[in-house]
Amino acid sequence: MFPVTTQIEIAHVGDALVACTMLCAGLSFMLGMVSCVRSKWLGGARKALYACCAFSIASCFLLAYAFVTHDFSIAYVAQHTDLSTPTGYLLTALWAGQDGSLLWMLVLFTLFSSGCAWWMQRSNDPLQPYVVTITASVIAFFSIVTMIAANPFDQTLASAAIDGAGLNPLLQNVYMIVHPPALYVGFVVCVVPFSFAIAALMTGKLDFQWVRAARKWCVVAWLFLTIGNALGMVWAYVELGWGGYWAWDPVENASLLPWLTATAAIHTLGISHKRPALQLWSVALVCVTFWLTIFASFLSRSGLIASVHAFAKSELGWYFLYYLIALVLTNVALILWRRALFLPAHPTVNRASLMSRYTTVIASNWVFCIAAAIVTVATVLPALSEMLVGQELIVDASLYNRWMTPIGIIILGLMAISPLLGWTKTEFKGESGRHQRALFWFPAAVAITVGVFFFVVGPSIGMPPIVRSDQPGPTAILALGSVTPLVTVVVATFAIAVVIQQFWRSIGKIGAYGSVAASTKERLVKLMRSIVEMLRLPATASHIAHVGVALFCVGVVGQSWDSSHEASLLPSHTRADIAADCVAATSLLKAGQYTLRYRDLRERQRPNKTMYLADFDLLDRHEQHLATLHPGKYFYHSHPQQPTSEVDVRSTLRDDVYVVLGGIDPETKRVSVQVYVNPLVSWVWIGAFLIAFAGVLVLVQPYRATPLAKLYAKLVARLRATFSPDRAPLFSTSKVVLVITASCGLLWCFYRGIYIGLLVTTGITMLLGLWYVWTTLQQLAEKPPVHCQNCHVTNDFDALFCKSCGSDLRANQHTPSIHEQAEGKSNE
Amino acid sequence: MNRATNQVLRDWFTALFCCWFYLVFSTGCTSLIPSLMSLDDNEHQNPQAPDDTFTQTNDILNAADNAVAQITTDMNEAQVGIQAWIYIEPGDDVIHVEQAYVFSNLSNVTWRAPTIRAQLAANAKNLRITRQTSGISARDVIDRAVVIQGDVQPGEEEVGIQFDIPLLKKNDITLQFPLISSIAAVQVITAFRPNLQVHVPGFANAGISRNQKGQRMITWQYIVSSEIPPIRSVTVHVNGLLKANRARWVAVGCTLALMLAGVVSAFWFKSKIRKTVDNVTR
Repeated sequence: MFPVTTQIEIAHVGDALVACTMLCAGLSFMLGMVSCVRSKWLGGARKALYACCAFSIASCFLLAYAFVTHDFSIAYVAQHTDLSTPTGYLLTALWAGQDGSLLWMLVLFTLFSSGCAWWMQRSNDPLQPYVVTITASVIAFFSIVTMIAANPFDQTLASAAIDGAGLNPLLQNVYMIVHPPALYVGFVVCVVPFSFAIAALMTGKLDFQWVRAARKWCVVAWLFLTIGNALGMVWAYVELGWGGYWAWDPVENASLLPWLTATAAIHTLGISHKRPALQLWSVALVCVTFWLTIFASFLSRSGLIASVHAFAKSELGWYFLYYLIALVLTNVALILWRRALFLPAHPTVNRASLMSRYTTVIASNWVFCIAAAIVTVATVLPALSEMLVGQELIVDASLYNRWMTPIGIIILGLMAISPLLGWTKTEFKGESGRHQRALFWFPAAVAITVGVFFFVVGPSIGMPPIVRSDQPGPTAILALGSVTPLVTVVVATFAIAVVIQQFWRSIGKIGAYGSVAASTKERLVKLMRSIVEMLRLPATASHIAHVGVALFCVGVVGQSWDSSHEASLLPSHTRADIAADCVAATSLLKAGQYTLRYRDLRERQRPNKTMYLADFDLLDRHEQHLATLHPGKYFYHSHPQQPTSEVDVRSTLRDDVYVVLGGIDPETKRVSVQVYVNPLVSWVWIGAFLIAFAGVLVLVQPYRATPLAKLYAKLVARLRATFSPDRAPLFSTSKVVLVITASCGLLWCFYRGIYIGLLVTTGITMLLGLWYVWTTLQQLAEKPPVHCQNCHVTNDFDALFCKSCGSDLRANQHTPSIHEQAEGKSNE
Repeated sequence: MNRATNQVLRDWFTALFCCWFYLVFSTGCTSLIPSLMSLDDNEHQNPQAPDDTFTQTNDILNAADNAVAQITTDMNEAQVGIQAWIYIEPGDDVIHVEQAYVFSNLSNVTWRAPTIRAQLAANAKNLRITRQTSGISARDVIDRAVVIQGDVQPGEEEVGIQFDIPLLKKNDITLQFPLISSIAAVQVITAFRPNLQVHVPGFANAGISRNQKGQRMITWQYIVSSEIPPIRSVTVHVNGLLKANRARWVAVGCTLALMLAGVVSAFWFKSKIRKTVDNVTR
């Protein structure tokens, strides 16, 4: 018998930590269950959840340590990294594989569940024990699956090798550092609103309380799903090298599904949070969103579907399928049990006319649900047909496009007209309806003008408004499909014009009170103050999101006009060797209005890869140099058979020139190159950015006195002070820096490409923001507190209500805000 | 040639083959076995110069090449020795095994081997013939076996077979590898991780080395001699495969028990409260 090594290894400690996480989840569940009956146990349940979080984070750190120290005795480390993997990507390997990503999800689950428990701690919410119990049960499920089916601390049976297999080259991209975590956060946070919904069902307290909490967390989930999906699109665009950003890949679809239902849920919860209506919709959508996150895990982890994003085939998916079935059954049973609470719908909804916001929200809910159903069916259809009929049906992108295009336009249309309608009814007739009718004039006029302009000018700039389709299909559908660009542009313009109108009206309202400004300087100051005030309005975030959606749709329509060109080229510097007339043919490629001139192929050695970079000059139609592009072909030493094409994109607001290298011959320097000219892609990113920004704005708007809201209020106060004509000059340092930053960003966007521009702007803005926060906090430390006139208790200077008696402290403020004005008007 | 002489010759051949294998394999080949015999980095970069034994072997082999080969079916006349190599490396769900038979002919006479049926381990799957030299050939037949036949020319002939053994979810496994008859020496090389107990009964432990991948390997050796009887099969015991899994299941059981206890306690407390309320009401 050979002596056995018995030293304690990282794998053993990691195993123990995951086991502790699991046990703490079980303990939290137990105490949570008991605290549903005896509330004194709630503190214990909460603490067990915190311990669970601590253990899971420790296990994650340990795995990261194993990656950094190249502990190849752990199978997961050996399979996903090697010695040459850069340190940054060593950490991304945490979620590069099945087991690690599950551990990562577990960590996020514990983190957000603990966060939720801590958040609820100070409130006297009767749903607390139920929420803690439900989140603990979900953590227990995930930790059990991690423990027995996909443990990242599993050791190799063979003794450790000196080097690992290396990270998949496709994952060695900067977007993979942030895309999966953001998406996982989105998935994971869905558990919190779900817990509130189930808690409300279990207790029968389907009132405002659960809606208020669920809405906040639903916005967080939706925000991260938006960011995750958007970053995934960018990753697919710059890494996969097929010229597009969304291929209706099954795993992409799986991450889109919860986003669709979460979007519907946010709108429904927004209504339920103000009036006791649409409770069933709210509960159902929140539950379905969580089910879809589990469904996404099932799809990506079962190996049922072939996808570049999916993990290897494993039995892990079946755990999720069984869990999903159990969830659906229990949730449906709970809803049926509490059906009596849903039946008496609120009379306001019953009385709502067809032309009302209620109707548009319900209609959009249905459209979102139909979209989710179509995508779900189309995604599982190949696997389902193979299981049932024995023959795999091929579902390609054209099917999705055919169905989702009209759905997208309907959503855009509903979104466009919704702000113009009243909540329960909209009066168009008579004198009272004159104001309502007037609201439609400006957007309609702008939309028609832009539509006519687009119809006339579009063909000459390479964007014809009517596009003939080569796809087979019924004539009517094809005819409808051919006018998609025109319809989308018109409806999107209408939506944007509606938002501009709403903003303008808000600014007008703000400008209406107070003394009339005497000078341009004071008007400008007032305008700036109005914008700051407007950011505090709850509707502002939704307006920004709607603009984002409209721009996103316009960007997507750009696909109608994209074109691709390919050629095999030789570098232009070999002219001496080749006859002059051949050179022109072999080193130049004409792509639409652009010409690409191939200069040279360079070889670069890196510790983990060999890079071949081709240099191309991008010329316009007048042979003027626009940019130099460097697409590459990387051969990773760990995966020599899997070279990656690193694309280079010259991005402008009008179009993207997307260059990707196919085959290369290092000897002769001949390369085969493919060039895509993709119009309006930048608008997709701008739209996605605005949608995400709106999510952030919703979270920081001071609905309640959360720490984030407090900070926001302080910043707003600081901004007020900055833009106040009494206190600061018009051109203060901060304003000048702000303007210079924005100008630099825009210039970079136009001249050096949208990505670098956005990067520069974001970087400078972040630095500026940090400086701003720091100085604000420093100055606020000197601010005098506000004394309540009723009870004489001292409050923070920015407090709106007294923390003791709850009386309104805003009477002390010298200028009422627009929010207060609006509230005052509505009260009148 | 009497039995004792035969035994001495066999021992001598075995020693020669070991040297030959050592030198050839340390320069690297394509199959699993070569990689396991390679040395660590320093030794790999400075391979040893051929020693006297190697020179003698080469001389004999060259002489054999130059000679006009006669054919015989007598193994002793052809001075043929057979050595078996078994390399065992665990994978994710299977154990990869490479089994090689090396026929060394030190005479000038070609040995026409009878049809040799080499039985493989039970549960062997994905059988592949990875190596066969010009003189001798192998083909797989039903019932997990390989048939080896052909002529063993003066010099070396070899047959390599790879197969997988499914890794059942057991804590202990015993692998049995039947061998063909007239084996002069057997070398078993295992690449299990250090905290697993590996035992090959009857074999002497030859030491630890590392292969090209840097994996630690334990080599076990059995040389047939006058004192040591011929060998017909090799048994490898591996223990401790599921140690971690057992602990994991215990933890899962505890978690489920806690959750169940929570549900039961909640109902118990609820009924208790109800009873109290009923009593107070009465």
